[in-house]
Amino acid sequence: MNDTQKQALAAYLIALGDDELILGHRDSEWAGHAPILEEDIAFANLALDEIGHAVVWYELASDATGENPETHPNHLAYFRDVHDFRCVQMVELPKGDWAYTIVRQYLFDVAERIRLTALAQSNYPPLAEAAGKIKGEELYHLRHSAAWVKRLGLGTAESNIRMQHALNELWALAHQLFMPLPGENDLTPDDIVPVSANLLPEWEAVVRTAFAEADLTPPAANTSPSRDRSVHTPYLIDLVTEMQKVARLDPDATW
Amino acid sequence: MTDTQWPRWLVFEQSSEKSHHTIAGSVHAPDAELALLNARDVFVRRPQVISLWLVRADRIYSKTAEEMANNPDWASDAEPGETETYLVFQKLGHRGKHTHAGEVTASSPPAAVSAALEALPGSGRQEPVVWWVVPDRLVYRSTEADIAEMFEIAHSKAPIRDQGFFLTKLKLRQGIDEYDEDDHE
Repeated sequence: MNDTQKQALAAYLIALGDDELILGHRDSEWAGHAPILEEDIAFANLALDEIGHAVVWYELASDATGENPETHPNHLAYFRDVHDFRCVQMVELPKGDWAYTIVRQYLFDVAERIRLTALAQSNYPPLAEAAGKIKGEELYHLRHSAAWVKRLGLGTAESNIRMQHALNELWALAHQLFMPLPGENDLTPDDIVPVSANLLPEWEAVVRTAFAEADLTPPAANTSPSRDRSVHTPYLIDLVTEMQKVARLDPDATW
Repeated sequence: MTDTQWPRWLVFEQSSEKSHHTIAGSVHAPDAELALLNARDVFVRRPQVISLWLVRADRIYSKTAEEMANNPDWASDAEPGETETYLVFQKLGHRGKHTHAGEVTASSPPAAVSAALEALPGSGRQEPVVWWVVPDRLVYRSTEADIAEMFEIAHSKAPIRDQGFFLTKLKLRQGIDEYDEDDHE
C-alpha cells in the first residue's frame, strides 16, 4: 500500500469502528432496563462485543498510519472531537423502544455480516484476518436479532405495530451503510475493501425475506437522508459527551 | 391474573465428552431457540461447553427420596400413557447437582422414576436424593453447528486487554477505592 492508501485505510477503519462504538454505546444503555433479565445480560454482552470490534478496527487503523496501537484507540474513542466521528446516523439515534433497538440491530448485523465476508477476502492480510475473527461473533449477534425480529413481528398486534413503526423509521437510514466510506475509493481498485454499493443487493434480499416472514413490510422510501458520514444528528453530541466524560476528567491519568 | 412471565427452562451443560450433562441453572424464554441463546449468554460464555440441553421446567417430573420413603404408594395413581424413552437426572447428595444418569423406557413419569430406581440405583457412595425424569422428545439439544457458532468465539478470544478496554470502569473503581481509603467506609 502507498501512503495515500494507508491514510485511506485508516479513515475507512475508523468509520467502521465508529459505527461499532456508537451502536455498542446505545446497546449498553439497555443495561438494567431490558424487558427481561436474560435480555439485559445478552445486550450487555452484545454491547461489549461491539465495543471490542471498534477496538480491533481502531488498532488496525493505528497500525496503518504508524500511531501507537496501544494508546491511539483510546484517543479515538475518548478524546476525539464529536465532529470528527464518522458513524452513520442510524447508530446515533436514541435507543427507542425494544422493537426499535431490535430492528436497528438486525439491519446493522446483516449489513455487517455481508461486509465482513467481503473484508475477509481483502488483499491486505491483517484486515482479512481481523474480519474473519469478528465475523464469528457477528454471526451470533445476527442469530439473536433475527430471532427477535421474527418473534416480535409475529407476536401480538402491538408488537407487530411497534416493529413496523421502527422499520418505517430506520429503513432509509440503514441505506447509508452502503454509501462509500471515507477512503473507500482509494482502496477498492486494489481489492483491499469492497465497493459498499455492491453489498446492497444481498443485504436487501436477506432482510426483505426475513421481514416478509415476520409479517413486516419495508417502506418504499429507501434513500438515505445523508450520504456524508461527517453530517450527524444532534443526538451524537450528547452521546459522545457522556461517553467521554470520565476520561476527560483527568486526561493525563495512567490507567 | 394471567402469568406474564415466560416459561422457565432448565439448562444442562456438558463440559467434555467424558462428563455427563449437569444442571447449570435456568433461564426464562418464550421458546427453545431463545432459551438456547439466553443460556449461552447467561451461563456459558466460556469455551469448555460442548453441548447444551434445554428442558422446560414444568415438563420435569420430580421425586425426592424422602417423598418416596414417606409415602410408599407414591406411584399408585400414575396413569399409563404412551411408552417412550425418558431421560433420568439424579442429584447425588444434598450438595450435588442434577446430573444426567441415563435413560429408561416407561409409560408415565412415575413409572419412569420406578424404572430408574431399579436400573440406575446410583453409585453407592452418594445416594440420589432427588430424581428428575423427562420424556426424551421434550429435550431440546444444541447441535454441533450451534456450539461452533456460540462457543468457538469464546475459545479464540484473547484474554482481556491490559489497558483501555474497561477504562471507565477502572477509573470508577479507582475512585471508589480512594474514597474508601479516605475512611468513608
